[in-house]
Amino acid sequence: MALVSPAASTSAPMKMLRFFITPSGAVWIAIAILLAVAALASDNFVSGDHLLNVARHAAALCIATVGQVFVIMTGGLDLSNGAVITLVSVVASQLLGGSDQYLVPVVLLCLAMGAAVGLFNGLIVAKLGIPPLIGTLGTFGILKGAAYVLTGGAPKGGIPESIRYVGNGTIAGFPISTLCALAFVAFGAFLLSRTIFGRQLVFLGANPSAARLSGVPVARIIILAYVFSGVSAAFAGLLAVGYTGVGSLSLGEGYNLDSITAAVIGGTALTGGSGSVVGGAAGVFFLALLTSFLRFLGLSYSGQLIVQGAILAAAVILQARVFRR
Amino acid sequence: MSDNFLEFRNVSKSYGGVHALEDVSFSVPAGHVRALLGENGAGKSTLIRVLAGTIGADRGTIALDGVERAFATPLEALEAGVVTIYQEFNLVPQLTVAENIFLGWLPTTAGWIDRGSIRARASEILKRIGATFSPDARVGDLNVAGQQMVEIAKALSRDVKVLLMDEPTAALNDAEIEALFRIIRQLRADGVSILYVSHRMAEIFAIADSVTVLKDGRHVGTEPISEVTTESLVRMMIGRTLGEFYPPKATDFGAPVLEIGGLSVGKALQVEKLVLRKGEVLGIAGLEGQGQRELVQAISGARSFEADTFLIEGAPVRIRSIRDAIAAGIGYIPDDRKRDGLALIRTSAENLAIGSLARRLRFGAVVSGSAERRFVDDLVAALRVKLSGPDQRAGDLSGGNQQKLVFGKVLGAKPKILVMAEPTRGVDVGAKREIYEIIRELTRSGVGVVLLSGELPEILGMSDRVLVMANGRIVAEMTDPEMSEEAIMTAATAEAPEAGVMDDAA
Ligand SMILES: Nc1ncnc2c1ncn2[C@@H]1O[C@H](COP(=O)(O)OP(=O)(O)OP(=O)(O)O)[C@@H](O)[C@H]1O
Ligand SMILES: [Mg+2]
Repeated sequence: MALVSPAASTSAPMKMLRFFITPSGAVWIAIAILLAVAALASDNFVSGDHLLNVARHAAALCIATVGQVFVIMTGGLDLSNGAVITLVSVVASQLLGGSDQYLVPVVLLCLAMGAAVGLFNGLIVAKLGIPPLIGTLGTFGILKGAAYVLTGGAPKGGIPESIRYVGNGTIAGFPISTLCALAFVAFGAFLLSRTIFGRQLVFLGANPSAARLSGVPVARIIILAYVFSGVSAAFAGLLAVGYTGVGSLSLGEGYNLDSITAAVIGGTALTGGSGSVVGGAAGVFFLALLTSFLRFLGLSYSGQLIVQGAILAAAVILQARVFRR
Repeated sequence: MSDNFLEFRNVSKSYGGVHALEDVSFSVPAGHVRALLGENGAGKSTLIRVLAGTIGADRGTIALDGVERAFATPLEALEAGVVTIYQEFNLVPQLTVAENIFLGWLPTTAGWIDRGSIRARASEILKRIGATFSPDARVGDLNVAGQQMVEIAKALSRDVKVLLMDEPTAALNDAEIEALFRIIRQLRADGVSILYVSHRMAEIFAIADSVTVLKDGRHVGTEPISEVTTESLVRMMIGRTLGEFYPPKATDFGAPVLEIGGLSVGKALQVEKLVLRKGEVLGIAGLEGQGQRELVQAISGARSFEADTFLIEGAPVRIRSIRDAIAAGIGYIPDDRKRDGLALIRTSAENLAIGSLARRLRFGAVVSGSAERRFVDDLVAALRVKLSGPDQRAGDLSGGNQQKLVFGKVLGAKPKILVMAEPTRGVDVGAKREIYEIIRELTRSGVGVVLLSGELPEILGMSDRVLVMANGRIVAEMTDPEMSEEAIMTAATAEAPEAGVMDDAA
């Protein structure tokens, strides 16, 4: 039975064109438009140096967003990732005291802290059935409090040269943190699309009941998604503190909402079951570029927040109205 | 004028390269029931969606009472008296039955929602269609049949000129179908034009005045019901005759593949003994809500149960979850494929693969792309799934092809025992026949099948042995010579059970 007329057999360029009108493709068009507008507005905004600088700024958020995409794909949210970043920065700072002596154990401890926070989030969401918004907001509060208690309100110690090099240094002119972020994006994309964990995660996000009846260990996969987000946040925290060089109680501020915004701009649906890690990374780059451009235009911080909020709303509406068939 | 109250004029619609409708023209008089027939994917739902304003046609027009109309939104269609009961439900599970019925046009008194009048009017409509649940019940607590009744009630709460029904009876039992037919006849007497989509031949002969057949998006013909037979309709639909509808039954069986003793699910199910042999189709029949669902859900691990013995191929197994059951070689095909079978927003390939990912791994965790492509291609070919490619979204396939995806997903795990609930619901005659053949091919290879179906002809045509259930117990067991509709119905009603529309499923 002839089901498909020749017109439907898609050629490679057609496929590429079609990609740009999918939820995770549209963000690239947004980036292109923003770059074009910026190029018209200024001669040196769209320069290699400046763009690399933007990418370096965005590295930590990019890594946290990869984890956030995993959680959102399950139909959840992780509001605690920023607090993990803060906690990691002050713990690393205090324990290392600016020296490389305990570098490896402390880095491992930080990542383990991220995993433990994720495990906690995952358990209260998947086992206790607490809504992710509430559950991870609670964790966020607990961690913020813990960071205050640990530091007594004023972080001590310091970040050693090794971590600062990763956060700040370059290889052949390329920021190392950006390279880390790109590698992590590739890793996350591989995990989500090519491993049994990722495939089960995507399916359960799309239909948890069908996933359960197909033998997917739903609770275990959801818990692992939060663990992955926690580890991503810890990694992001190490990069971020390597960039600033000093532990800070405000370092992780805004990461939770920014990572959600970036994920959604990159085509990840808040309803779960559809989205893309690479799209999320593109969403981060778009946000970073936009922030930098708005600052260049002289917009105040509050103005930037308003624009960012409007763009999040637009992305959600676009997803719900245009891409839903 | 009323001889063609509703008129389709050269309507076309395509999705990418798929011509869902091509140049369809026909008309329906007022006060007339027209059955709309065709294979899965023939374009029936698409035609209904165009008329109801949920999608736009590429070309062509629709006229109501001689006036050309194009409804841009479902609301416009509703206001013109075009009311639709969709194949998919559009209910809000958190709201009550009454609130769902009047959703979108809640009656108000001076701006306030008038709860009393909503309840009164809702219970009046519910009574009219013979529903037994209360207008205050939460829609999410109703079973599929109950929800379908709410959809019907919702449609009837409006001022109807044209009623479109897309497989309205797929989830209803005989009594509910009879109640629905009474309403349809009453509406016909009131001058309503009714377009009725169903895959069940018996129903079409019972209710329709005439039939229109679509095939591959084209209008094949429109005939008065007195001029057609099941045979001639099937030929119009699929272009050939089907011959014997049910494949030959098994002649000999192997050793028992499943033996259960002392099975219970709370008070809903008490089964002393159940044995399924290799190569056997074991039919489960009875009036609705007599424990059949609990039985198949327990066997497949979808519901917790207690059992004294549970043996697979003679060896005791412990089943406490779906995953245990799958690992033990039990596959489950649930009756509500949209809710429990498929992830509609994901691709066909992903849906086929999800049930057996662990079988195609490299390095213990990485899904092998080439093995998966082969797996998907083989299944699509073996089950003859009609799709534009493995990346087509499962939700864009027609009903019969979605059901084949559910089969493929479960078969990928190579089950020894296959438990299925309503496996041909909403599936066209041709695909139904193909599914029956798939089931028989499986039993020939030694698989044991448990078949729960509310359609007695299907039970009789497919089962080697039938268990009849009433009040959560097995009340009769029959094999071929004594198996008949009368015998099953007699056994099913002997204990005078009360039919339950409310479902206590979790
Ligand atoms: N949103 C969509 N995107 C792509 N193709 C679609 C879409 N909706 C329907 N189709 C295709 O259009 C054709 C007609 O589908 P339609 O749902 O109208 O069939 P149907 O006659 O109602 O079948 P069934 O009896 O299975 O319900 C099918 O080939 C289907 O795959
Ligand atoms: Mg249909």
